[in-house]
Amino acid sequence: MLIQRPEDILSSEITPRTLFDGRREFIKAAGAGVLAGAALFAGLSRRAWAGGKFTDLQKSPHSILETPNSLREITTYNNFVEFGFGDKGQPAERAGAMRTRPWTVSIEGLVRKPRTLAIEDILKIAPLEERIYRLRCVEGWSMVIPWVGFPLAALIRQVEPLGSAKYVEFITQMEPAAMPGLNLPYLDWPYTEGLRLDEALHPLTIMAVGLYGEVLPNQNGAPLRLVVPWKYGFKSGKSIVRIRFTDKQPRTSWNIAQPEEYGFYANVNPDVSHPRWSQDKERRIGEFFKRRTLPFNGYADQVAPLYADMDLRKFY
Amino acid sequence: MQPGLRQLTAIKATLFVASLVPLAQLAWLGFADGLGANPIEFITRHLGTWTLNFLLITLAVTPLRHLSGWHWLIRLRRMLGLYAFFYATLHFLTYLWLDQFFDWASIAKDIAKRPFITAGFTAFLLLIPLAATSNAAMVRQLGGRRWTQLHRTVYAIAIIGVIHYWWLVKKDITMPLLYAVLLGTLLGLRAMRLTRGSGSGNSAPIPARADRGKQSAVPPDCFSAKAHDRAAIRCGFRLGFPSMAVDDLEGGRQTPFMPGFLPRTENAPSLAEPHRAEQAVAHAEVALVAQQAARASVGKRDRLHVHHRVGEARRHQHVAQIVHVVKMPQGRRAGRAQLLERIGSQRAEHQQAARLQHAMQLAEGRHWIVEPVQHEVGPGQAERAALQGQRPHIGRDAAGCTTAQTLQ
Repeated sequence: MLIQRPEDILSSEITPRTLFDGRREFIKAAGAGVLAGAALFAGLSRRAWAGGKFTDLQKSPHSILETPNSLREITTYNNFVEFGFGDKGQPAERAGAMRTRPWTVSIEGLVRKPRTLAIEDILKIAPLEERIYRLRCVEGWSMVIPWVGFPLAALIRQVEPLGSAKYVEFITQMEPAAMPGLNLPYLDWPYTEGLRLDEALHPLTIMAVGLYGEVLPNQNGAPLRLVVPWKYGFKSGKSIVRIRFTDKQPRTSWNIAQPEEYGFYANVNPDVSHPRWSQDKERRIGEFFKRRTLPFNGYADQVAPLYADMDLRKFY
Repeated sequence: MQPGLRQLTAIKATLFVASLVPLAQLAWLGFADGLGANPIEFITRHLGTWTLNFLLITLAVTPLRHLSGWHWLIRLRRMLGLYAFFYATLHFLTYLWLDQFFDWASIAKDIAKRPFITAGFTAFLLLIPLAATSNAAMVRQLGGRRWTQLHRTVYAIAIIGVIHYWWLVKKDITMPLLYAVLLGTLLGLRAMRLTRGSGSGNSAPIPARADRGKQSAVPPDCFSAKAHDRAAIRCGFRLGFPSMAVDDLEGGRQTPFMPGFLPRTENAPSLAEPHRAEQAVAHAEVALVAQQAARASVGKRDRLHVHHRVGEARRHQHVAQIVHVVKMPQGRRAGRAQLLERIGSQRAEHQQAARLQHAMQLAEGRHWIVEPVQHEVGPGQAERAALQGQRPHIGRDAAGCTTAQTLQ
């Protein structure tokens, strides 16, 4: 369904279809404090991160025109296995315990300028944009999410990868006190994902810091997560604390756990089925009928050339 | 604990309503917008979970009965089993309709290619004949033994059901493991009962025909079925030994029943003429039901369902027999112990009748056979009884009156 709307309105300025429970009350109650904080932060940063709300977001030509899912859907139906492998409400219930400030990200490996950046500095690397992307989970469901973020390429440029760097590894935070999932032996913790360097540099690849114009909720991977919209959701590591440049293909968590089910590439591909889930169709959360899944999650025009000479059935 | 008829009806009604709660829960959550971001997934999972729950609850009835002695629980089992089928059907329909929206090509592909769906579909298909044969008429038509054999597939179904769940989960097998452990326990209890009786008691010889004709009087305190009890005496077909199927002793109907000795019918009715079994009722002079059995079942107003190997019984729902040697020639204790031992060793959940060949051997030994009650003989008891020169106890005796004494 295409909803006609003026192109200059950000979806973050539109009231979400369903407001997250209690959000209104929270905003009212916290209003004064938030405003005070906003003023303070505004002085520090041109693109104020104002106690939860981003302002001055840039629109992106990469955004799609489909209607985003509601904030409630996006924030209550999550896979964030550090907070449990059980039902998808668990991350929303448990992730609040995770501390996201202070937060530093160590960028290391085959780079000329390795460094450790505080999240506040990361937010200043590039202008924050709103990117409305499809998200396709390997489990056969999908959403449309209005992310707030910046191209990963901007971050990569800062550290100047060496010529030998071929891959980028993304490592998720481990906070055992807040993350009961870490006690389960199902994955090789910490959660590790990886991209080829050219995938990481692709303009569609972003580091997200927010959604719906606000700071990323913890269950969605606060404060900093990867978003690679043409790959299955598990590729997009959450709550990243380390980014490492390597010359060898990183060993990724799900691939280690079940290599026959989860490949390194994990491009959305309706032609490669999964033992448990059909990949030729998907259920868009909030819709009754299933949709056909598009190759590369509908981003084939932009990203297919990255895999021009590869047999994607083999490199699934 | 033994509820009366009224209480039992109340228990059944309560259980019926309680079993609908999981469904009502869905309706309520749907109404209250509580099904989450992916309601179809939620509904499917919920119904699947409750299918498994009901399967396990159904399978828990027999072990629970054995452990508690509450044999009336069997009266609830059919309803529980049908609820398992009910939720399985809803689970399957949710998949067909809400999830796939009757996309047959995709469904066929799912069933063929996704192991967890293959397993779930198989389990569902296997459930259908069980649900279809759950009513009394079908039990009658199939005959107790075949019915029991058919319904043993529920073990396989439950195992496949747990596998279905196991293969579905991405990585966290906590819940499937829990179900597997529970199911393993329930099946293990059955296996224990089965193996406890095996490997012993096979050595004593069967009495020879020389003892034919030597009969002593009916033990005085064996239970005699009362005139108002509905009982059918059946004659072992072709074998000329009398046996008895007691059918619905609870009923207060005035069925003619003549106390006395069971007839030794050389011209017993054949399987081909089941109606002729009725005649045996009229000829029967006494129905020998061990007192204890009568107490455990009849006395407590529970139904006594004995399904007969000879033919199809009437007005009963259930199954399982024990052949109990009531009267034997003197000095043949080893023989009677053996028979009971075999019963124990060859029967698993339902301690059913001794096989036909046992009956034949018994007939040759001119033993009286009564088939009173199900699920009562513990295999080890026969051995113990033989050692003590006693008749084995059959089951529990709430009043302290044991068959071992009465039948000595």
